[in-house]
Amino acid sequence: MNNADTDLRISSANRGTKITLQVDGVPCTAYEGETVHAVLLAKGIRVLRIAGKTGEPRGIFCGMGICYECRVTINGVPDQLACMTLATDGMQIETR
Amino acid sequence: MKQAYDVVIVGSGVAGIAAANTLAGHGLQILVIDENPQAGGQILRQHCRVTDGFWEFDPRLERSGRTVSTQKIVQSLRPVPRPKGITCVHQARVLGIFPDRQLLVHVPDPLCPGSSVSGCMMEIDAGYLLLATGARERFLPFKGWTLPGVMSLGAAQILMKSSGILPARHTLIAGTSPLQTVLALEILKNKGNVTAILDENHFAKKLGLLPLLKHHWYLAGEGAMQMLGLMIRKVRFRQGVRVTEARGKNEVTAVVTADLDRKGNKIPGTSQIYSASALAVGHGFSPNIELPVQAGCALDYDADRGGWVVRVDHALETSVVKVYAAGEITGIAGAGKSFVEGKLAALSILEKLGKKTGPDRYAQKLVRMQKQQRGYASFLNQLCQVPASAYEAIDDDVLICRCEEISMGEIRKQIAKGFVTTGSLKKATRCGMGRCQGRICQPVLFDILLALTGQTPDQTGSPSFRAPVKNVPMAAFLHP
Repeated sequence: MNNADTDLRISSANRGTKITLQVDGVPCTAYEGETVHAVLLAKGIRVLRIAGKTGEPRGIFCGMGICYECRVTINGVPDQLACMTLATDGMQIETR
Repeated sequence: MKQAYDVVIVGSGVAGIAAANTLAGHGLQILVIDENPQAGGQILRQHCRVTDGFWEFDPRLERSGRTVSTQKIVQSLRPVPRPKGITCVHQARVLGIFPDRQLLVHVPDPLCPGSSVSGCMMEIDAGYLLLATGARERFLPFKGWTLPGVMSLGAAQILMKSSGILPARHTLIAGTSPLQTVLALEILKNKGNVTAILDENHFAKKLGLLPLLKHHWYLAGEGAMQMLGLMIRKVRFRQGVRVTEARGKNEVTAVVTADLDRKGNKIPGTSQIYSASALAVGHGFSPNIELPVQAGCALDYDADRGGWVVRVDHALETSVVKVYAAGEITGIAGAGKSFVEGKLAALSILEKLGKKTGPDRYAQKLVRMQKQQRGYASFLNQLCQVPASAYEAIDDDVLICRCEEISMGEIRKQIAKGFVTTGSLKKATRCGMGRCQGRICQPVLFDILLALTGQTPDQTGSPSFRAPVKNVPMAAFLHP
């Protein structure tokens, strides 16, 4: 997705301080107050994990800590819910 | 870490906040626990960005005899700077409730001595316990509902409300929930595009449910205004249409629909294909009963209240002494009922503790408001309800349990073998044994069982949950 970063962020929304984090080793700009799942979506990353049996891709589903589909590794800790975690400066996020 | 509090409130949504504010100022030690980063629950969210303060409802709201619409609650929240004996812990998960109101809570690392990245465990003794755990969305599964880009109506709203990010440039909206129109307007307000709204309900069904809103005509008015707003914006709005498939390789690219007859059955040969990069879908709400069940609270089944709900008496005490419940878990009815019940539960607790609770007139007014919510509850839950035939018609290749990847075919097979109760079907299929612990599939599975066996809810049986009711890293137990 080209320019996804600027595309999906709502222009009229109030944003926190600009921060930089790493997504799968690639630097990524975000803003304080954004959740990790939103940062990933804005970056155009929709596939967050692969289901074990069927090998199907999975992504954001409930957005509120219920479905456990958005599990990613954050700062080395696996299986963190992206939708329940606020993005912070220097955060390391790994998908898949 | 072990701590004791006079009152522990689980959940800082509308019910939890209303209760905390009522309890405050009586010299009690009050603890509010919530797993979200901010207070406010699902409905208020962005209006409650607080870390160490707390929020109070406008006194005007409490004086108004009318039941409360969501918009009014949002507008009337204001911060309270002075400490009132309320401790609020966020991003903390209650994992289990044990006899005598002992709670096991997983708290995040900044609060743990000798900080561990996995957080640590806390044992809490609650003098009184108020459960206000809210609700989640429910779904009628279809082929491809697991594809990235297919999300709940709430998820699409949360992205915008909490993070200011659109779900996609173009979003298709479907299901039976009144959240459909709310979401569409929110997307348009934020300069996104709504491809279409595909409402499963026929206009005639909605019209037939209107008399249930006799105490809530202003809500019918709000709904009409929303529809008008969508018409002005020329949003394509179709009624009596169900999503039957989401297609795509790594993410959704197309959505297939079928028209429905008046009974909600698909009409053959009416399929249409929409191109879509996001589909937001939902079929109503389901109470979060995991913790009440853990605490030993008796449940009742009532489809008009959203399925299995926590049984409470007039004082909102559950079947377990000193354990109270308020809000969506006693019956789905939205923010107004949650507000009133949070207040009532708090007043009941204060009375038990021998604290002055003000004039009885106020409590009586709250009880009246609570009763008036029943009509709206029936309206909301009947509007969202999917007919039994829709569950019967789910194709064998559709996944029902997303976590354990169990298909409808497997479930049909095990039901045919005689596994026809909630408990036995779970064991036979592993449906509901995955990471989400049945939070998504359990209400679906229950409706499938009712539809396929013709049993009563009591024959089918209520679900059971054991601690830990949420996943927790083992390392957290090493930092007590």
